[in-house]
Amino acid sequence: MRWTNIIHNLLSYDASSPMLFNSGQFLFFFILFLIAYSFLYNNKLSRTLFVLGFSFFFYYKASGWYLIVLLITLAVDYLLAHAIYKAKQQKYRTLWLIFSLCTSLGLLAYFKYTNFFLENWALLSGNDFEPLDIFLPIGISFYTFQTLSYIIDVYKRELTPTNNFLDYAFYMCFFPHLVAGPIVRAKFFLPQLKKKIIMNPEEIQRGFFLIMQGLFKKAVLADYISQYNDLVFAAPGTYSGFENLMAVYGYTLQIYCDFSGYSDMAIGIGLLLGFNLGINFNKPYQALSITDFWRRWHISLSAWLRDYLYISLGGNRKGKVRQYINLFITMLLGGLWHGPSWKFVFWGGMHGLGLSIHKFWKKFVMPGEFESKWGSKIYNLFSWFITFHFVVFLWVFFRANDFNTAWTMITQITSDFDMAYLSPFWDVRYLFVVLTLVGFAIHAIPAKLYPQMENLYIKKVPFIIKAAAFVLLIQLCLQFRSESVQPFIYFQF
Amino acid sequence: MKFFKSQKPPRDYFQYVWLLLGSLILFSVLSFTQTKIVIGNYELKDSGIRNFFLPEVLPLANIADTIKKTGGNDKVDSSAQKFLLIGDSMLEFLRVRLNDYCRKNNHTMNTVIWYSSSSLWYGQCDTLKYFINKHKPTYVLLVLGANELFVKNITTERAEYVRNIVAQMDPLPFVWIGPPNWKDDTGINDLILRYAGKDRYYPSKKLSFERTKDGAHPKRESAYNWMDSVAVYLQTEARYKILMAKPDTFLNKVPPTEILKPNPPF
Repeated sequence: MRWTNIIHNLLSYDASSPMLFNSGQFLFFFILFLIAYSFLYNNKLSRTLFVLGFSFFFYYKASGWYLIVLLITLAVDYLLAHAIYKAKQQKYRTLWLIFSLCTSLGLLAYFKYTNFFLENWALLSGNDFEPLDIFLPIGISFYTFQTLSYIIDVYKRELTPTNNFLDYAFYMCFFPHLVAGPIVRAKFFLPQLKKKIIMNPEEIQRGFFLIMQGLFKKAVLADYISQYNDLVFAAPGTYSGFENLMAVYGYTLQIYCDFSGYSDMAIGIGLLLGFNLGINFNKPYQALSITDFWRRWHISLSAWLRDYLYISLGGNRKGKVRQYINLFITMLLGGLWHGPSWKFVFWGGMHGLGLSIHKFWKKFVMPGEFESKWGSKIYNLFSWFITFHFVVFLWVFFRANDFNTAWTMITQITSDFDMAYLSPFWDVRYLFVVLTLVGFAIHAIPAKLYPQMENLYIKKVPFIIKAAAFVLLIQLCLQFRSESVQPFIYFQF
Repeated sequence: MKFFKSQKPPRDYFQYVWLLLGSLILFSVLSFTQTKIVIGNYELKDSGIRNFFLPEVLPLANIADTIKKTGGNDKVDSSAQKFLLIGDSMLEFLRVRLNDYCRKNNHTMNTVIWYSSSSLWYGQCDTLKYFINKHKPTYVLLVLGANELFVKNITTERAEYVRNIVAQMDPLPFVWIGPPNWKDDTGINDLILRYAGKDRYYPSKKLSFERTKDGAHPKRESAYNWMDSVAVYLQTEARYKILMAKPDTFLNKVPPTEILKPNPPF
């Protein structure tokens, strides 16, 4: 192969192998990036231009020329934020806000929901439906929510828009969080751009620890166990109830490892470069209630929905009944955000219902705490069990291709369940079982112990051991990978 | 204004840059030198870096057409067949549809799945022969090759195994159903074609598939269509042509299957 071809392949967009954090191409470019960054990071202008350039390149390699859509959103919302801020009269402020919402949400609606609306319209009108060939630009749901938060904060006068377009572009397009979050708030991130970057050795170590953790979760655990899950979810009727149940538990772990693994890598890369992106997951399957679950799962999205949707609808300020309705609507729309399908609406709606029931329970049925220690422990165990299985149950609808498949799966589990499958299942799928158990065991590490483990890695482990662990991790990723790099689940949202 | 400022990041930063760079160099060297590392029963997988820079271009098999035909029939044999469907995980849904064909055409079938298997595994042991002796099929359908689409130097390294597999099935009527490629392979289809011959090799790679989320396995409906195409081949093009009338219904029933652990035989 000629060098020109190699360079062309390296630099051009290939839809069949987009550049993701877990791809070899990313490692190659990231090393070059880190070397150059070490020379540039102290000068704000050079750092900003360099990181922005790399972020655009990263997005191009992941999504091709849909980079232009990102740039349009960027330019339009930067100008509109200033227009809102400078407008003297409230009606103009509102007008500019509506214009901005229409632009951002319009693009999102076009790319993500056009076929969904057309399909449902065809269904209602009895016409045939021919889907339009529309490609969903990677990360559009994430950067749209980020830009909305910026615009709404400016509108509410909670944020002064930055006069520096480069800072705004950096905040929006910083490559670690660009395509799958965390959804970072301008109030939190923009001040970091104004400060001198101080690279703290501990933060660098912590960043690398997070990158390794994320890579393990995504490329080893999630990608391997997805292979079995995919088989069962494709045809649950051809598998026993036991096998279906294993796939449901498997998917429960897979989606957590996939998405939190990505977040870990994003946050870790941010720390390595001297930026804090916050936290996005906090052991969600340890939650003792569905409210608690949503404080731990995809925290940046939950907080966004709370601040910009739930509170805008009235939150809990208009009475209990209205609060429950607001919760339900918020989660319904949150479900739709995940994908243009009724199954996501159902998934979100059920979570909304769960949240409302929990709020009702805490207010009217069990307002206090248990006095006895054992009573409290048993209650917590019961609460965890119910919460965990409510979440697991709803993942079936989230993952299944349609409602029929989801019901087939549930029917198989409830009507064709036999523990006799345990032994042959272990014989054939022992690696799936081992990795699933490892994943849940890691997740079960108490939150109190986790910082201690992190500190142990940072302060006590010699670098040579860390290096060996990293090489071993890369080889593990190679051993467990399927032939092509698996996309991150949340890229489709 | 200085574009570059002299203050350097702390030592830890460079330690990790060197670690990343060192790892990249290590895996590149291993890949370019095609070093094989075997620990116990496991061979460490290659990073594929060499293949990115120097993709193998293999000649098409050109001797398949010259293989001397032995046996075969020109007319369709309508008698009841006893199939042995054996191979890797790609036959998960094929077996369901083949079951429909068996019911429709009075054939019977036995199924064996050896997960993660390849010609390397089947070619180094007598597992195939064992199941042929056990079930005494009149027709063998082998689904194999998907786990070795990207093996380097496959045409030289696996030829012996492919030949051995064909020898285990000979002289029974058989069809080797080629892998449903999701990318160009490095030569496994050529190898199968070379040793099985055009009329005992079904080139699944010519079909397009809807895949499950792993990007490799065909979805159920797609696999059913795949089996339908194989059935047409069995009735019209295979060396031993048999009756494979298309069933009108989908029973979606998994036939009894013997499952082998995804472990190599050595």
